[in-house]
Amino acid sequence: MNSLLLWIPLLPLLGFVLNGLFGRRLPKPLVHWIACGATGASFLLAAIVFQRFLNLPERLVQVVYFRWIESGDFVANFGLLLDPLSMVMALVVTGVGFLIHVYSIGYMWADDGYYRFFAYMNLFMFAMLMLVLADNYLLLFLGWEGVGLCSYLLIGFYFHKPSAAAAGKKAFIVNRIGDFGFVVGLVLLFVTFRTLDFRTLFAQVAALPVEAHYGVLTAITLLFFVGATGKSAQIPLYVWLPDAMEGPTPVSALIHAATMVTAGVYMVARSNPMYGRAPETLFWVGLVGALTAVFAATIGLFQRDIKRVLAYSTVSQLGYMFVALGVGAYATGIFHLMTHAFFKALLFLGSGSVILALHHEQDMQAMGGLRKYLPVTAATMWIGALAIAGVPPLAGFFSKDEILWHAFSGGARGHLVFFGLATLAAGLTAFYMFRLIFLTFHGRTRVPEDRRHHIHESPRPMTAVLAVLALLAAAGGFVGLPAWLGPNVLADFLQPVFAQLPSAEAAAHAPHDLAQELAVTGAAVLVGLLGIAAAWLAFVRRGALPDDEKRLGAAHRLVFNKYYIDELYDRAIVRPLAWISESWLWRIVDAGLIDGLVNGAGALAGALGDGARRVQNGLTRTYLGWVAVGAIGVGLYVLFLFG
Amino acid sequence: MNELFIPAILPEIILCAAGVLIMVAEPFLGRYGRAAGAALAVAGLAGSAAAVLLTPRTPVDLLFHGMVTLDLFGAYCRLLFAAIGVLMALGAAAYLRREELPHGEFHALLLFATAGMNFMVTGADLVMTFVGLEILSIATYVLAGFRRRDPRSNESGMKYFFMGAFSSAILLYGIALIYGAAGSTNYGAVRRFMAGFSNLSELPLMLALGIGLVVVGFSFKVAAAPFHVWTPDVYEGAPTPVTAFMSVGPKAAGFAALVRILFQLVPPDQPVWTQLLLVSAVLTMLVGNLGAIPQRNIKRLLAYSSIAHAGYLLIGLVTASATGLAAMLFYFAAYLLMNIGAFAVVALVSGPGETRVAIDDYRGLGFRQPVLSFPLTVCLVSLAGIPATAGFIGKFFLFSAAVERELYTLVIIAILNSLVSVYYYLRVVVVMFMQEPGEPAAVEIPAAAGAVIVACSLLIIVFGLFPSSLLQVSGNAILNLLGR
Repeated sequence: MNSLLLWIPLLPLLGFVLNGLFGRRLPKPLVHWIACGATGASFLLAAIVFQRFLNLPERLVQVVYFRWIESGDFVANFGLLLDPLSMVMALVVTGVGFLIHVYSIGYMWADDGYYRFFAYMNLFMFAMLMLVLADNYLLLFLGWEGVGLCSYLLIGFYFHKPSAAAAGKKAFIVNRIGDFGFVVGLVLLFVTFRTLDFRTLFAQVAALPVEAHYGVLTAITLLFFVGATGKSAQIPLYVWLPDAMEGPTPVSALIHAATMVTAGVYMVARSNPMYGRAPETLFWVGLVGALTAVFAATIGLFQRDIKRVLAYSTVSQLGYMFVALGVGAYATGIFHLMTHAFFKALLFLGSGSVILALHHEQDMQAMGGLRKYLPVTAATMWIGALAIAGVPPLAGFFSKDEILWHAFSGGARGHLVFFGLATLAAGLTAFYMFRLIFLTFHGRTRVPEDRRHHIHESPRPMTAVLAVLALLAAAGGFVGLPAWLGPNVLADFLQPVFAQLPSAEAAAHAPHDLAQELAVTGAAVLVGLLGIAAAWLAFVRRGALPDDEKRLGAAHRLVFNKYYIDELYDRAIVRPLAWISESWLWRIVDAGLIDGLVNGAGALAGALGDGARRVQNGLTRTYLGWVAVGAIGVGLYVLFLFG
Repeated sequence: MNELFIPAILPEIILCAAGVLIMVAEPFLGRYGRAAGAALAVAGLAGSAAAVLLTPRTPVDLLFHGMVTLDLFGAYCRLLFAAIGVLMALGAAAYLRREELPHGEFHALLLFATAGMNFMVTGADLVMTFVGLEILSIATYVLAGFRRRDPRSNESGMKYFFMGAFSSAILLYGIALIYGAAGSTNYGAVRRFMAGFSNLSELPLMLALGIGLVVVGFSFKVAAAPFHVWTPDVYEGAPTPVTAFMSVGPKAAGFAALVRILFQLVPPDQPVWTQLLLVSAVLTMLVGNLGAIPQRNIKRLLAYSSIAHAGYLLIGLVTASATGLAAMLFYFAAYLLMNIGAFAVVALVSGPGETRVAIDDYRGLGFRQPVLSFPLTVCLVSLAGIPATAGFIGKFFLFSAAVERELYTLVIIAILNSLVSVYYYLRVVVVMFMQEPGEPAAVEIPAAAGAVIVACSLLIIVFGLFPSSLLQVSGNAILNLLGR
């Protein structure tokens, strides 16, 4: 078991090394056999480990492979922790990851960087698995940075496109802001508890009371949450995710929908003993989540690029997960993470199939009527859309319903507001998803006549993956049935991880009002159906097109331009910073002080000869001047202190 | 123990003897001269390391009439210097051949410089430390101007010499003031003199000023702001292996000498200078990291990076704690690996006459030359302080030592700085792996240089994953120095 566990992340690493070093010289089939083989084997191992894990008397395995760092009282191990939470995450990551790898065989086949793509994807799998299996925060952080690096590399995969390179850079910079919060939180955590190991730490935390007001746990958890808003694209740091769609579509599906962006959700759930004792933080988590859910959903209403609709939808659904965490329903958050991985991966891969068929056309204005040409894609995407819209009995219905019910019945400050916002977002989600479906697959086709005969259904590996994911999106919800319908298998499985919490206990013993719960369910389904009906009225009955939406005027402009948030950030933050570094740092520090005197190193080489002595003299004199200034400064300090 | 205890300076004797031997022997060896020079240099350095390992390690500071100390701290540093020398001798051979530079002189100067660094860390008297510094400096001036026909190299050597002479004068003036106040230049004697004052403010102004000027003198050597101004020009113009050497050897030796002065000459419980060093640390980090952002030349980029790293290392001095200083010693080792590794790649890529030194020249190197690009990536990632590398461990302990001392502002500035640095280090990685090559230039990888590059990057990862033993050794060295 111990060595099996280690091989789950190691196999993709091995795939990365093989393809990274030799991929250029290997034939394409071998490249994808290595990459998919490594991920598939990793999934099989995870399944075997899962089967053994279920039979363990105590479902908790911590394996320390070696002492990573030891210095004084500081100890960090290289160890993996297998508990129900990391088990679920490992299964989702390897399972969905494997499917997307297989899909990529078809999608990336014609691309020059075939081996490069698979090498990065395998490296990503390794980092993501380290993140979810780590037994301490330092190792988790290693995975956290690793997935960030891969995301950056893969967003900029088509680096010859300036927009792709810019998107990669944006993702990178925005995430640095989040990571800053995370790192400061880690330092504060270590200084307070002298350990970063999950079990040791949580044992200490368990002895602490719930913080009524701001305390050290609140500070740590808030800082961690700043990190989560970066990685999981929440307000105000969500701006990088829509741009990240510049990467290849399988990357969008794997990294920017199913796995990496949920790392923030996982991290908060993993840290639940601390979050559970910091109600102030939880309130903010829920509020940010609920606001993001609605805000991103409204932006999704009018986007024309098929992938951008899905991107904003991802931001919105991640907000949903944070609502669940914010009301203390961690297992529900993980449940939604899982179902979302299924249906959003499906939707992204389906959109990839459409994009491939239309030769990289992404504007929905130029689609329509595609169900005739792409029957499998259309059918599977219908299932995905029904699932995300929360139509029973598909996967999204159960997880979304559970979140709404927990928000409704939570009873703490703000929970009813979260419930209201989340219900609103549910309606919006159903509307924009079916807008996408109707605009893409229904009505008369708007593909130019001469290109229509080029449209083909995608190759077998891609459609097979779509079918499997459709099955998961349809049936995946049955592991989390509501109490009145049957056992909630997933919540029971995860229960040991979240059981030590005061709030979880309270929730478990809360009186279950069946009538209320059914009312909430009914409302959620009704809102979803209303959204679908509205989309049907607008885009099927009246046959509206994205171009027609412009008639809505200012409101459309505002939403279509994403509330001008990017422009706002640009004016308020980016440009002033650029101005400072251009005009101040660059001109004064480098160009002014150094190059200005030398006229640049290149010019110096040319101006050598009689000019050289003059330049050199001037230069060195200035340099000596600096040393003298410094020495005088030190002298003055000494005089001030001792004189 | 006998005051004239030869084993105490045996490593330096071996280094100097080997250096002289190389110079004398080279003319007689004809076409074997090249290989023999490098081999003799490696043998001399290995001999000095062996001599260090074989001498007793109980602290003694009365050897040679109070000129030399024998302790773990000195041993640790001398071993690092020997390692630097070996990596340099192996890594530079191909470069010297390509640029048609004299081998014998290079290796001899390298050995003399190493001997000088050794005396800087074992010296127990300001005069001894100063002599060590001068031995090192003069050798380095010559090395910086080693490409005699290249104006850039001439400029570099000349500038370094002027600046070095000026700062040596300041240092010497500081020593004179200390001698005038305390009546001795011996560390122990000055410390005993200072211990006589219960209150710091009673300290004679002359002594305080003297120590301040000595700190200034060494700040120049380690390229701490505002005494860093020479660094970019000198590093850019010097032959790349020499730049590599200057960025690790003299810097580590300067820091080690500062440790001795601040914690052996000044009584350790009187951290008067921390505020000065704190200001300098912040300035150095800012200047280094912000200056690196707009660079287009890889040597200049690494020069600014080396300034930034002086800033991180200064944090160790500012904490004035055993953990902080131990982290600094650990970081020396990590830093020498990443810088020598990175510069070794730069030396190979730069091509005959060092014409390809722009960052754009690295376009498309990624999968074309994996033996160069992957190690360079490891070095840069480590310089940026990303986990799983030795650079991360070093920064982590430096920063946490500062947290222990409740220097929160300093830590936040340092973390922000290292986040900024990620940008310019990874830019090189991005250029290598994500941009199409301009004109593909096949770089030939000589065996010795390739071995140095691969060894450096592997060790970075090894110390990143298993740092415990090295941390323990550096911790012991510091406890030994602080007399605990």
